[in-house]
Amino acid sequence: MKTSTPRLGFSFGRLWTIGRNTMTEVIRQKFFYILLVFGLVVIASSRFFAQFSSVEQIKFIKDFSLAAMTVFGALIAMVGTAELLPLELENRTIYPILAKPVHRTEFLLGKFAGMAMLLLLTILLMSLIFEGLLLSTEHQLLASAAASASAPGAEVSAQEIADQILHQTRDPALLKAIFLIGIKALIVCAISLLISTFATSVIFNVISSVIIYICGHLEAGARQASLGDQSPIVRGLMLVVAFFVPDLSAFNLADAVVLGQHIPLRLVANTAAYGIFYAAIALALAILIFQEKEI
Amino acid sequence: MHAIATRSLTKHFRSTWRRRVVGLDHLNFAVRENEVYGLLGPNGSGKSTTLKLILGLYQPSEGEADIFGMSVERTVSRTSVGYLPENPYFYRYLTGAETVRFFGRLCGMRGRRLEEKVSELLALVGLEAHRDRRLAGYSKGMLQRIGLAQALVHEPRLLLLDEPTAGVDPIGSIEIRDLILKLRGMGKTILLCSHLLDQVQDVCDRIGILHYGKMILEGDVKGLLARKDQFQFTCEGLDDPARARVREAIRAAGGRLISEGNPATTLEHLFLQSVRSADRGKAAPSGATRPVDLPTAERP
Repeated sequence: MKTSTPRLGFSFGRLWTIGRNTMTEVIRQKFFYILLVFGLVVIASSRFFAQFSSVEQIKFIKDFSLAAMTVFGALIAMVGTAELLPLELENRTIYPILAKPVHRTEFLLGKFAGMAMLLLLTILLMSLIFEGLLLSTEHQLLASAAASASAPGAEVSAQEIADQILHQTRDPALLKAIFLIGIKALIVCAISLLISTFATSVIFNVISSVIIYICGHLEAGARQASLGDQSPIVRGLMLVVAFFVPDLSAFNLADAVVLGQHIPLRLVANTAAYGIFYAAIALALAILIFQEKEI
Repeated sequence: MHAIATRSLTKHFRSTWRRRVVGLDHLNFAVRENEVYGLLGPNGSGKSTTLKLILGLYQPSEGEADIFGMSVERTVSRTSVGYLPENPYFYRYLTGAETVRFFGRLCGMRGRRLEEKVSELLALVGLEAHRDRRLAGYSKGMLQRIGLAQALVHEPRLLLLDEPTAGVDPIGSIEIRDLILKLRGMGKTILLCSHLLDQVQDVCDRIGILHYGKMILEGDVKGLLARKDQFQFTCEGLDDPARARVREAIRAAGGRLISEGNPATTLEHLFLQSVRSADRGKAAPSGATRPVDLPTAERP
């Protein structure tokens, strides 16, 4: 005889418990520290490479630091996420969890949430170092600009140099660029999680993620180049790639930021929505596969 | 209502070259409430597969299973189940208390109720002194005990224990067996998978033997093991002439003496007695006698 069974609804409490634990887990892995420290050192070292004029030096720091944040954010997302599910299966830590009244969706989204929180924390940390670096460089450059402008025969006034420096360092577009770096890392994280639901090894997952990451950056250029191509095969192939692989170059605002171009808020919002859409699709597919997975 | 009921539960796996391998073959069995049921069988017989199907970790190829009348396909059925996997590995970076707390939170427990439960369970499994130690430093026996604590955190009515003493030394094994007996006393229903037959005999009310995914024998432990055509006396204080008179009396009554001699203890009891004597600073006993304070496992 069967009794009527009550429903067990989706719980953000359980998702949060798994997410917080995932974050603790990744934080305690050595590779995370290695990548994070390396990322911070690279950002901090950008200052010592610069041997240019004052404004050029700031541009260099911005360009170098934003690139470092993008690369290390993506690396942490790829390597960290690729290990999440295989480690749970290999160490059998998943069994007692799914033997509790926990939906598989909560488990998977909890894992993603933990990694996402960690990525945002990492990017925040790198941003703070970056900002500190910019402010200290700004302080030094302003002091030296004031000294050189007050020298007899100076062509540019101290105020003009200061304006140019402040225009570069206090640029709100920097925040927009960092925001999109975060969104891009989340897409990479979601794609890597999707691959880990069916991949047989961590290495396969990391390599696949790297290939998708590279394709995502080359996609826009290739699409542009193929526009003039008459071959339907090439055009069809580009269409398929464009459908399955997100255009990751759209998230790169570093060039515009360095050139001091205006970045409309609408563009940032649209790009973020595009990224969140891709991440949501990847997560939905991951959930579908994981629901049927025999563990 | 049964704690567990399976109807024609079947599981096929695909091996290399897509060959079909039968993991479990139309299994029908039921575990009654408040009993300890031992699921026995050699490696690969389908014990762990049965547990994974009951927990919804595998999808059945055919058939169905219920827990207290609820289909195991529903996640909510697991509110009544506690599971201790074989060789459990929990998060090594968590302490004992953090581990039980983590699983309690997954079951929706919070605040003071959870903290009280954590302390109560750590005391029950004898790990109170190690509550703030990371699991990386736990022995196998301690890991099994913390596994039992997490399995019990949401006060389930049913416990599924998969090889609870695998890789544990004899003392740890006895401690876990005593814990199982204690849980039975608390009214829990227990499904125990093991190939340690002595242990199963000590704690189980009923057993089922699986072989190649099929149930080949099932029944009450005492009923299955009793030799109803034979009877055994164990006595002391008889000298040689008295023993001769007993033999004569058996013959006179039409019986046939099958065996006689000094009863042997088990290696487990000898081991425990030696270790405990050494712990007390005394010499190990030279005689092979069964200690009176240990549960006996008489053999026919």
